[in-house]
Amino acid sequence: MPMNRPSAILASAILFGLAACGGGGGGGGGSSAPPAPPPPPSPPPSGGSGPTYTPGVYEDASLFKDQCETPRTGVDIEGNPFPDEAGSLLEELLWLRSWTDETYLWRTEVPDLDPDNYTARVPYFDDLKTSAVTASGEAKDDFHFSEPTEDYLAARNSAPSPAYGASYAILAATPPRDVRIRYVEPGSPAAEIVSGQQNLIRGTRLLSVDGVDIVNAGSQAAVNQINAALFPDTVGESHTFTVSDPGTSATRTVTLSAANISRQPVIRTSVIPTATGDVGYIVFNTFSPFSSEKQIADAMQTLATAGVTDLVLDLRYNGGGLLAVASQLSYMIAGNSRTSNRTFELLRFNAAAGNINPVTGEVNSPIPFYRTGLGFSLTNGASLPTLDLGRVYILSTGSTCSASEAVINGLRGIDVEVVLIGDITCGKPYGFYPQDNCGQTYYTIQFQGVNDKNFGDFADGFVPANSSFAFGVETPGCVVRDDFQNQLGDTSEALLAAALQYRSDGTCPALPPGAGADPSGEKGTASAPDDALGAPLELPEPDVLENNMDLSMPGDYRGRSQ
Amino acid sequence: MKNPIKLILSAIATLNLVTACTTAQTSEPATLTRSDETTLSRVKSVLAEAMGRNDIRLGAGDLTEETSLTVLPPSLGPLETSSPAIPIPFDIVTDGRHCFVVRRETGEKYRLSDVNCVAAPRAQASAI
Repeated sequence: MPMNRPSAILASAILFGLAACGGGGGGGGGSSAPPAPPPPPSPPPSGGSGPTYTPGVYEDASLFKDQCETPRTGVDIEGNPFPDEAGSLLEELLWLRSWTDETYLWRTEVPDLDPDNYTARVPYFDDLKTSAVTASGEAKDDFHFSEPTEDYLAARNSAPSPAYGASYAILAATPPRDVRIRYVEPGSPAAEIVSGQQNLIRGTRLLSVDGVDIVNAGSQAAVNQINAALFPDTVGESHTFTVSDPGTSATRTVTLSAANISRQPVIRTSVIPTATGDVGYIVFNTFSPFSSEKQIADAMQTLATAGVTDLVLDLRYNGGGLLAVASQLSYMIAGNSRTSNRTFELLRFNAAAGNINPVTGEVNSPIPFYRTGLGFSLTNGASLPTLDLGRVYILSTGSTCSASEAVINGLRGIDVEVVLIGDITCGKPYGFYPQDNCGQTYYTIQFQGVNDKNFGDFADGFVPANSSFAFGVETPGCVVRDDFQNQLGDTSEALLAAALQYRSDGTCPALPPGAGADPSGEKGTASAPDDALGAPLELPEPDVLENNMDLSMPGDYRGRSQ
Repeated sequence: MKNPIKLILSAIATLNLVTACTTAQTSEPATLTRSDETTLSRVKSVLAEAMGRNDIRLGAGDLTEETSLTVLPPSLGPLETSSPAIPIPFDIVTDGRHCFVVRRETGEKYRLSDVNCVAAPRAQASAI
C-alpha cells in the first residue's frame, strides 16, 4: 500500500528505535534493504489563510493528503478508519498536483495547472498527465483514470460472483451478432456434462436466450434482456439458451443456472507427445488471484515430472496481475543457472525519485527471479520446480497484457528465446499503486518495468516477426488468428498448431487475409459503430476490465488499423 | 500526525517493540502449539498492529508446523494488472517464556500475547 510521508517517517523512527536497543546479529537476515529515511518534508505553506497555488512551486503532497472538501466518517468495508479531515477542494487539487509531481512517471511532461480553473477534482486529475504519443500514434498514457474508493474497495473485496463460468467473445456486436464462448471455468455450470454433452464449449455460438434472438434482435430492450441473461445477478438464476457448436449447424438447448464462480488461473495442463519429445501446454488465464501462485507451480510440477522438453504457454487471455507470480513463472521456465543473480524486472520510477520508490519511500530493489513460494498460496520458502528451458512458445492476443508481457520481457532479458504465436500483445509496461484521497481512488502511471537488459519500451506491444505491423517489439514467431473452431489444448487449434509447427521446422502457417489483425472477440465489443443495424451488445465492466479497457474492433490495434 | 488511530496503533506497536527489545536476546524459531480460531485471531490482532491496517489475511502454511507466516497484501483490484504486491513474511520465535513474530525484512519484533508456542526442532528451525 502506498505510504504517505508522515507514516514513512514514523516507520523509520520505529526502526531506529529497534536498532538502538541492540538487536545485534542481523535480526533475521531479511533479503531486502531497510527503508531509507525519506527526505525531510518541505516547510508548510506560508501565510495564515490556507494554502495557495504558486506556479512552479510544489509543496510536499503529505501536507494536503486527506484534507477533504467532504470528509468521510467511520470505517471502510475493510474496517479501516477513514483518515479524512476537514479541508477544501483546493487542498484536494493541490494534493493531486504535488502527488503527481512526486510520483508520476512522466512528471516533467505534466502541465502546471492552476487549480483555480477547476471546480471538481476528477477533471483536474484527468488533465494531470502527459499528452505525448507513442510511435504508433497511440496516447503514451492510456491508463490514467480514477474511480470512487467505495467502488475500488468493493471490487477488490468482491466474493465469488454469480455466473455460469463462461467467458464470452463478441465477434460481432451488432446484428447479425456473433457471440461465442472463449473458454469455460472447470467445474462451473458451463462445464457441466448433461446427457453426455458439456453445456458450453469453446466456440459455442449463442443464438437465443429465453426466446430472445441474440443474433438479430434490434431493440435496446432486447439487448438489455440478453445482457441480463448473460450476466446473472443471483445464484440459482436460470436461463435457457439455444446454441450451436463449432463445426455444426445443428442447434441444441442448454439451461444454465448461475453459481458463485471464482476465476481459475490455470484451466488446462497437458503433455503433447511429438516425434521430437514431449511438449508441455498450460492455459494460464490470470496472475491476479493469490491462488495463481500455487496453480501455476502445480502445473509446472506436472510438466517437470513428465519430463517435457518444450513448453507452450497459453497467455492469450491473460491480462496480468501479480508481478511476483510472473517472476516465479519465468524462473520455473528458465531454471536456476539462467536466472542466477539476474533481475526479472526493475520498476523504473521518475528520475527525481533516484533509487527510492516514491510511493512507498523504500529503496527500489529489483524484482529477482523468485525461486520459492512467497506465501500467496504456496508456503513461503517452498522450492519451485523448473523446466530449464532456453526457449518458450507463448500464445498471445491483444488481451495478453501487463504481467503477461513482463514474463515475455523478463525472459528476453536473460536471453531465453520467446517465440510469440498469435497476435500483438496489448503493450502495457507500466504500473501504479492505486491511491485513495478523500473518497476517490486515483490511478496514475508511476513505474515502467524494465528487464535485466534495462529494456522496457514495449508500449506498442510485442509482435510476431511476420506481422505487417510497423510498430511493436518484433519477436520471433507467427501471426495467427484466434481459433474458435477448436478447443484449447487441441493440437488442431490454430495457435497451438502453429507453435508446434514452428517448433518442428521453424516455419509459420500461411498468413490469413488481413493478417496482423486480431479477430478474437475479446476486442470486439463496445465500439460497434452502426446503431442503425440494431443496438450493439456490450460486455459489462468486469469483462471489459479483464481486457484492459481495450474496446477496439476486430481488425484494429487499440482502436486503429495497422 | 493526522490520523489518531494510526498514531495509537503505531504507539502500541512501538511499545511492543520496546518490550521485545528487553526480552528477546536469545530467541529461537518456534511453532505455535495450536492454530485454532482464537489463537489465529490473537495472532492477527498483533499483525494488524504491525501492519497498520485492520484486515489481515494469512498466506499458506500451518503455523503449528511452520516457523514463519506471511501476511497477504490486499487483494488486487480488477485494474491492477501489473502489481508489485507481495506477502510480508514474519518469523515466529520464542525466548522460552514468550512468543513473538519478527518482521523478516526489518527485524521488527512483536509479542504474541496469550499465544503459546514451542521452540522448533533444529532441522525445521534451520529452514528459516
